[in-house]
Amino acid sequence: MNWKKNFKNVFVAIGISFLLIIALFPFYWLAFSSVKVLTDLFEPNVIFPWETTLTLFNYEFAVTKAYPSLISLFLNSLYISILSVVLTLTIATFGAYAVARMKFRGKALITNSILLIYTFPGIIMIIPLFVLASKLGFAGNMTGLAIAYLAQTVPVALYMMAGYFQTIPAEIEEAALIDGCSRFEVIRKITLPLSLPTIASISLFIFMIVWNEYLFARTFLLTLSSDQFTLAIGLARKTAHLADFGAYLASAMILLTPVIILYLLAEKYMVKGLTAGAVKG
Amino acid sequence: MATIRFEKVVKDFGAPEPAVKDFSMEIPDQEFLVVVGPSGCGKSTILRMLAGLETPTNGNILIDDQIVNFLSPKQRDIAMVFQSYALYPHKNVRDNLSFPLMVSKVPKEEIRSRVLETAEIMGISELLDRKPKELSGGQRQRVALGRAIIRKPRVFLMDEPLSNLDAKLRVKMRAELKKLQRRLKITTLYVTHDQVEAMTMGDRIVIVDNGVLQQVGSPHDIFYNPVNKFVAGFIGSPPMNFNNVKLVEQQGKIWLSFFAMKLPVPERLEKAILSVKDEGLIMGIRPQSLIFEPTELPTDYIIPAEITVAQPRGTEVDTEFKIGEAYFMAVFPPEQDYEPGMQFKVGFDPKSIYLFHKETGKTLY
Repeated sequence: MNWKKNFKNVFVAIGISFLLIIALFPFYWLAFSSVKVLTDLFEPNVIFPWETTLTLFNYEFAVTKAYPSLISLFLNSLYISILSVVLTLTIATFGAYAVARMKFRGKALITNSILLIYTFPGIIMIIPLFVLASKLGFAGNMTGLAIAYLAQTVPVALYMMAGYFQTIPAEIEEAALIDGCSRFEVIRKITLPLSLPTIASISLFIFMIVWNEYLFARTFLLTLSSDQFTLAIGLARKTAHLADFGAYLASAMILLTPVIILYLLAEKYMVKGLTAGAVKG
Repeated sequence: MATIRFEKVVKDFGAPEPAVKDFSMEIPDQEFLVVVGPSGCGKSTILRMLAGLETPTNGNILIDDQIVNFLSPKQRDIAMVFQSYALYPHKNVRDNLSFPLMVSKVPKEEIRSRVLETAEIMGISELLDRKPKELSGGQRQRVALGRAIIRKPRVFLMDEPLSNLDAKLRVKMRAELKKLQRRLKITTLYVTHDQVEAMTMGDRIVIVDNGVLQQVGSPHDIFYNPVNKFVAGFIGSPPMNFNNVKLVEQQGKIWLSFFAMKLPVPERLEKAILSVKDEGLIMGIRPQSLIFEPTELPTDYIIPAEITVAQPRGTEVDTEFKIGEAYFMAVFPPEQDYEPGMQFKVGFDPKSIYLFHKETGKTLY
């Protein structure tokens, strides 16, 4: 029995390592290359860090020379992403609470439409959204972009959140009502604190969607000057006519870093949040 | 300090039958009232309407002569203990207890002293820093009760608060709850499906079936004077024996006949019988009123029988026997061996024979 189990474990470990190497190698190559000296950049035999001289020159060069607006692009992306997360969470919380807890006419229709919108690819929505946004006068600025993202992010967030709310026993909320809370206080003091794991994972998820998004950003920010772009479109645009690979790799690392940091911070919630809906609370 | 009144309360969830129909009753101040009935009978709905978690479709609910139909739970000054305890999982015991006080903005100092006092009463002083998931069922129960009493509410509502506890603890908590209620003198509405709980705890009991109030009364009253067959069968363990009987006239007397056996109609029921025409009757007798080899009963009430199953319970033996094809459950004293197949004489205590209309189920008096 025991040797069988060990045997199995060995196989599992080999399988996982294999997948990990495939998944992580490009990232390793990117991270490693971004700190290589320029001369080793195209040297295929330099695979390990100790075979070259490590330097932060690429980063310095990227920020100061190659992409002088990198910092402001970074801040733009951060602003749009955070704004999107906050707006999405605010709207999705109330929507999800209504879907999960309230009884109202047309609830099934609304719930199903949310799921339906969730299945629309962004490309279907972009033109009507852009037309709508221009008519309302918020196309062509970052806040407008963050609002446009809601069309993509709210359905996902609402759906995930409603699923989680449903796992919270209604009796706990009723107890709070009887203890003297209003419905709004119940949400604030009981439901939301209990939903922190899900909120963390949804936030990260939304942040990642918005941070890496290209199509909407490209369309909505088209008319602005290049230092008002998001990081993703800004980098892509520059790279099209700039062949400084060292700086490009360093910038890509900068693009990746916030997502990685956030993931590490939220990881333990992430696992909880993604599994919470599946298991009975 | 509160009296509660239900006036023709109806709750209709849109199902073919309303969950609660024309429910009227009054609960005097400081009473411990138990609402009991089978699951799905509407008893929890009654409680939830009083709590303000459901709104009555029709009729009025009054607390201290004020109509509360549309008041939020917050405005009613009630506390409730749920079957699942419904503790706040993200707060420790101290914060669970103080939550109702925090919400109503009681000063910090007072909250602290009341938490300590309540924890002392409930015997949970050691547990104040623990989270609910680190507590046993019994401890959670105490915290839930503590959270209810800390506010000194006008009314206590309890929705099957003991049904998640193991049997031993349940018996202990029954007594404790009753003592606590006596001490705090708060009007209490207690919902349960367990008739033993109802009998042991209630000052009065309300029996509900199918959303309709069947009977209100003291445990003694309900046990000895059930108004219908449902109440008679619901209260008492093991349940009352029921048999279809026909009225037969012989030797100038009226008899209850079943399976070629007959018993004389007890004297106290002779008048009531006169109103009964052809429709059949149901005879009811409690297992405790069937006597093994009786010595003091009139001989007409003694019938030969045969034991089919015996289940000793220590102080008594639940024994099933048959008379002809009619099966009865009886509670016999333990001094005797009751072997299946054993022939014996069973006595029907005429004082404890009940008769019910077959159609309406109403008790004949």
